[in-house]
Amino acid sequence: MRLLLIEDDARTAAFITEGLGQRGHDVVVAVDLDAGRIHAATGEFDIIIADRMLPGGDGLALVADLRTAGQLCPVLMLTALGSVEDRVLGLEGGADDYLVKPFSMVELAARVAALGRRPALAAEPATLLTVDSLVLDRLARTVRRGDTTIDLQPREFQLLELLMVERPRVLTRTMLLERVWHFHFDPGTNIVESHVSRLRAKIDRGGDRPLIATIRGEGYALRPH
Amino acid sequence: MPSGRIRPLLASTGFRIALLQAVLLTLAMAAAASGAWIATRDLATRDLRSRIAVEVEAIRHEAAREGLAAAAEAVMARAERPGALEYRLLDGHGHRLAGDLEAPALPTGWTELADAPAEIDGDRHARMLVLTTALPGGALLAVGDDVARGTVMRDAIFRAFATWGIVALALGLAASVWLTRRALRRMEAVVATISAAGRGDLTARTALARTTGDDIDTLARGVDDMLDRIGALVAAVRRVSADVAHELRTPLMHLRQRLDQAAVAPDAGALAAALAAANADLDRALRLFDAMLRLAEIDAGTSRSRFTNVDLGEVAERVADAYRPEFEASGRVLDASDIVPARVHGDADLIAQLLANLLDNAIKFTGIGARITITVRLKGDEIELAVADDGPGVSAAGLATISEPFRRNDSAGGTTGSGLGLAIVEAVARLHTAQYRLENGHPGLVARVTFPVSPE
Repeated sequence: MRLLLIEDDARTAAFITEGLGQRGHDVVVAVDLDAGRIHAATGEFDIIIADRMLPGGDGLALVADLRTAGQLCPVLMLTALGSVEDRVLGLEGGADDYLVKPFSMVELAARVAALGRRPALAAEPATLLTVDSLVLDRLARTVRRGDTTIDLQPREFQLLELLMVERPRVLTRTMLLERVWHFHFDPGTNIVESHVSRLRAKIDRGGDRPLIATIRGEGYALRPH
Repeated sequence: MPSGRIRPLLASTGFRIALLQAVLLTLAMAAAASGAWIATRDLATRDLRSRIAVEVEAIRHEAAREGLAAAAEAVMARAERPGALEYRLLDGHGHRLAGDLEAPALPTGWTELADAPAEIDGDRHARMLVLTTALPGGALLAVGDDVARGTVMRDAIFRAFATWGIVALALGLAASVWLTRRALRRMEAVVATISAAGRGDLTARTALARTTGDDIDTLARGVDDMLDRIGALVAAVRRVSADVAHELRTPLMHLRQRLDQAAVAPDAGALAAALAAANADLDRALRLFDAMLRLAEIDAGTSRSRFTNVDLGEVAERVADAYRPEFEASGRVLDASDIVPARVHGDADLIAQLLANLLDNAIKFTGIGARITITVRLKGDEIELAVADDGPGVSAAGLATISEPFRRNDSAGGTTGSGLGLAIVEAVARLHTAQYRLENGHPGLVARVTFPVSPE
């Protein structure tokens, strides 16, 4: 994918460019808000990653300009540690996701991948998700593995639905906390691990092929293995 | 009095008020005295005129009945009486028959002599009022008196007024000087205390004897109480800063050790393991930072502007759902059956974090098989969120301090958390104007957070 990174710190910019480059992305760096605007106006980027505190102003202003101009290009905001305010303002201001600095490359790559795969707004989401012998009906809210109906708790259903929609991408622990439980803080315990192992116990039973993969140091993904 | 003592006195509000009052009182007295003076001036003149007229009538009557000689005798007899008026009786040729009133030739009727030359009783008559009447046989009778004589009493009264007024003014000023200087001395103690605190000595107190209970005492007490609170807060901030430094030292020390290990790693596997461990140490330091910054942000109260109506029951169920597998996997029971929908005005994210922190604690401080209960109940016009466990609980002394930053329960089993969990709970409760308290549940620990019901 072609990414625009608006970040004034050279070391951070180099770190991101290299990390995302290794994952096959093409990153263009703008060092201030005005350069960012000029690049963004070309409309040739799949994702824009913007810091909030930039020379020339707030990265949020650029998001507002883009949205006013009718550009739906996904924007990932980078926000300061410990600032709930930044996240809320960022999402309200039209950003699609946010990441708290300092972040790991794994987390950034996972979020970039998820943003890049977002369907166009008008596209009709599939009502029936199928992976291997696992079928999830989003309307009837039922799950079957082969011929067996699997009984899931509402959160387990949501978790599985998310993994299936995003497959085969990795969802990090933080992304799952945000999207399934709406926790925008670090609970410090093994909430995600416990839920995933429960879900896994329900859908990967008996001789079936295991579907939920743990990607060490990254997160979880739905990948038949 | 040296000017060094007068200047603060003049600058004192109390003294200025006293001085202003004294001046106003003096002006009022002067105005009253002037009014009375003017009002009584005509009174004295009228009185004099009627006395003169009566005398003239009496002598004229004598002359008409007994003749001019008798009248002259009567005049002489009258003139001898104490407090007598001034008389002059002239015969038809203008010769003085009786009386010693010195005056030029006078027309009949009332005359006012502005500056009479006569000296009577050793007094110089400044202003004479004279009634001149023609008697039978061409004689002329003049009777008069010093206008000032009628005003003697008046003068005495006004002199007394003036004298005592000045005395009262002087006494009043002296009293206010004394009182003001006394007040100033106590004010100086208060001001000195505030300046000392301003210079950084937070142990300074006014130490004024608190007996009179007047406004200066109230001020001194307020200053002392304020300094007590500031002192406590500064001590807390210092302690927390020291604690933060201490808390960060451990993960950073570990991080350095990991990096040292990585530098000398014999193979790629050992290197990767050392780096992963270093990352975990760094995460711990970052989590601590995040918790501290979040605590500061909550305390700053900025998120209050984003408050909406939040269903506390929904939040409690969501958090309970999130934690249930972990409780069950670790052999504990999470009971969330007693939760009712309840609307509070607040920030759903922060309330979720509050509850998550309480559940985190419950996992850390209870043993296998423990039962943890979350309840959301309506109690009158309040909503109570409670997390109760049947674990070992906390000592009475521990209850008071366990919510302070970095005061971990001794049985915490190491330093797995940030040490700020309950401090964040307390801060979130305070942000929502909710009451937060920890109690012993006999057995176990009960955390109660009581929210006011959302107004709409």
